[in-house]
Amino acid sequence: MTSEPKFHIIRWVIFALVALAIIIPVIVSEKIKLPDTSSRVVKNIYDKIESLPAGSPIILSIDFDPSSDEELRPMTMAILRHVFRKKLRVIGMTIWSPQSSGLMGDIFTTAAKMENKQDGLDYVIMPFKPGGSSVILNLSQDIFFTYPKDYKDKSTKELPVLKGIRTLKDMKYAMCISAGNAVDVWIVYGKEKGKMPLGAGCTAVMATDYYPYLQSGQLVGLMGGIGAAAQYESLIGEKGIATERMKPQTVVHSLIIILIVVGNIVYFTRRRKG
Amino acid sequence: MPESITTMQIIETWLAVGFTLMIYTFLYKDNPIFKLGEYIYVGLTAGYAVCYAWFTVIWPDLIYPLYRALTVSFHIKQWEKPLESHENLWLIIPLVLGILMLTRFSSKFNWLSRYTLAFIMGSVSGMSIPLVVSANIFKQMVPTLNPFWGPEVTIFQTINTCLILVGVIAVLIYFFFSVEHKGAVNKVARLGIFYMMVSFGAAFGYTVMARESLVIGRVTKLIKWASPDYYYATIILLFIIIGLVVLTELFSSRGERTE
Amino acid sequence: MIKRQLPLLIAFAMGVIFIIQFFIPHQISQDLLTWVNKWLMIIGGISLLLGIYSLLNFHYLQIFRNKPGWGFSLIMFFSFLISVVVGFTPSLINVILPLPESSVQSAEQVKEWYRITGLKDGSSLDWIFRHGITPLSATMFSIIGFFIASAAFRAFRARSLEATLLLLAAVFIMLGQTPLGGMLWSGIPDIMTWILSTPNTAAKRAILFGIAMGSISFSLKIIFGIERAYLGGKN
Repeated sequence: MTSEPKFHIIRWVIFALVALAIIIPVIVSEKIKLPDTSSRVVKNIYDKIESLPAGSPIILSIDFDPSSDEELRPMTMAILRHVFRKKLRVIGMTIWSPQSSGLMGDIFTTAAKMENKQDGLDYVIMPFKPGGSSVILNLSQDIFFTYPKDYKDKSTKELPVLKGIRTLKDMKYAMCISAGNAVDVWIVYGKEKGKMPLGAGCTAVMATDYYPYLQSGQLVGLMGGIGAAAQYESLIGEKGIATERMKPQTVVHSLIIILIVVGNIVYFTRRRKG
Repeated sequence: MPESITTMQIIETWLAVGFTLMIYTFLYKDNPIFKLGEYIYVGLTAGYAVCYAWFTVIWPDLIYPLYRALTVSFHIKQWEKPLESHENLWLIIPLVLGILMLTRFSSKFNWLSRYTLAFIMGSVSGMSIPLVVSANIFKQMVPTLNPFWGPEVTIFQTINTCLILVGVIAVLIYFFFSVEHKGAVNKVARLGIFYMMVSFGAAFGYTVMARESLVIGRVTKLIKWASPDYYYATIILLFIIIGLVVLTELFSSRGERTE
Repeated sequence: MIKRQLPLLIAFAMGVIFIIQFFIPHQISQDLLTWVNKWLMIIGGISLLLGIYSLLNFHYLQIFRNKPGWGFSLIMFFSFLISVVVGFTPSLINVILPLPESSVQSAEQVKEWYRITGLKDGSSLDWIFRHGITPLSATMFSIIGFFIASAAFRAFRARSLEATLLLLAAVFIMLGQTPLGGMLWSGIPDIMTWILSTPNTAAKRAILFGIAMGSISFSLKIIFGIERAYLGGKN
């Protein structure tokens, strides 16, 4: 058994290595050039959005809060910039937590400023309502009944962005970007009731859980974590935060693989010595 | 490079850097500076949730429409669309159920909250059953039983379809405890474990990416905030917070000695 | 009866109504679904307050009973009040002292007051959210990034065939997710895709079947009153 002080020292050394593996590539970022990666499941989401005609209404469910902001914001920004460029009408909503609404306001305003879009005309942000599946079931019945007012307290019935829309069935596409089980809720309730094509973005922790839904066609595509965000940035030709962050990410992954290998060498050497 | 940074932005940055570094002191060990940040976080979030519940649900969806409906019904005030308002009288039901829910904290009347719980659990259960059967059972069975051979099916797809079918059965048998895991059943169950190990390994690989991306996000910001534009916020606050941690350590060790 | 049987009857009635409702497309049936879901959302909002009360009560007792670390509970209360006061004050002032909109100057003032009320972008509560809650929350969850590296070094051992499979899958994913995998060998991203779409899909689908069956049987147990733990209490 490792003694207590030794345990702490090894741990602090590993923490320091992780910190260095992040700080150094961030500082010398401009000198590092990495090739792009691509995957079918991410490309499918891009293709789906590309195929939608201008003016099509879509729903973007932002189901994460600040705890996953660093991981999911780059993905959300990339998707939003793409849908804004395609001139789609976007309904932003959340079933996750009150904090998701605050975050959504921030992300939408930033993306709208970049793509020169107007609140109420090109997009609308709905406030958080508790209830999860109840909110989605209600949307499948009547959007205006679920959200009489938007995030800015304006009556939703008067918003031009929502003209001609009444329920989830009128949506041409829906996407849930989630840090928890919101994608499951969207598949079971949203997809079943609304029948619209559904895409998912999630933290990398959750990504493996949704592969069965890809094969069954219940999900159009899947974006897992920062890697998928970087791929999407290269697809829309707007390399940004995610692409930059893949540099330290690559170094840290290498460090962790080295740590696993060293750990195993130490383990097997000790075992051989008895 | 940011074009012009206002004084307000400088204050905001220093606040964010301070909070970030306070939390990172946990890497040394659990200490009062970390705890301070933790409790501020809990307090601010709880307050935020209260405001949210009020501004987005309780006021606009319950109290205001109910107030309108009641005043119209009793001819206290005339509104433009009385019909729409009458409908809102139904909101008395969730109001009552909500109030009953609040009796949970009374030792004498907490049984009243059971009505609300029963209402919620019963409705949600009823609504979910048909949808779960359709989404997670029927629609998941179809691709598992994909055709093995056909005009557009490659040999690679055939192998994968077989592997998925075998995997699903093996994992299900592993979780099927009504039969003793001996002989052939044990072998199939062990195959199920292999499938699960590969899946869990993949999940771990992804988890590493997720967790590290969170650290990278924070550290990238700290590096940005260490620049002269933000008056070296990260560097100065780093020294201050390390100093505070050292001071609290000294105090606590002196406290222990005097005890 | 009134304490136990009636709630069970309510659960049974609601459950059966909504299973049947699924198969009836009539307007009344649809309206029922709409209204009940709206009620559930409202009850959810009220329950949010229940959680907050429970948290505040716990910390109140910590302070009142002078438990170790009560000072931190005091700080929790203080920051809770900051959020609440900042969140409600502008809106309250707006209601109590409505500014006259007669002159251009005061109309501007009205606009300014309106801007900082409620929860929208740029409101005072939003400021607390962006510069207080966001950095604290994001950092809190990022700490695990350091610990996962330490855990990988200590616990990830190829002790058995199962553990080796786990380890290899993890390494392929870690490499394949970054450009490094493709740089080392062009086959790594393909292997990663295969792992995810074949063995992973099979295992996750079987688990999904299990969870779906479990949730259906749990729902049925609630509807038929076999599962009663959620009611709490003895009688």
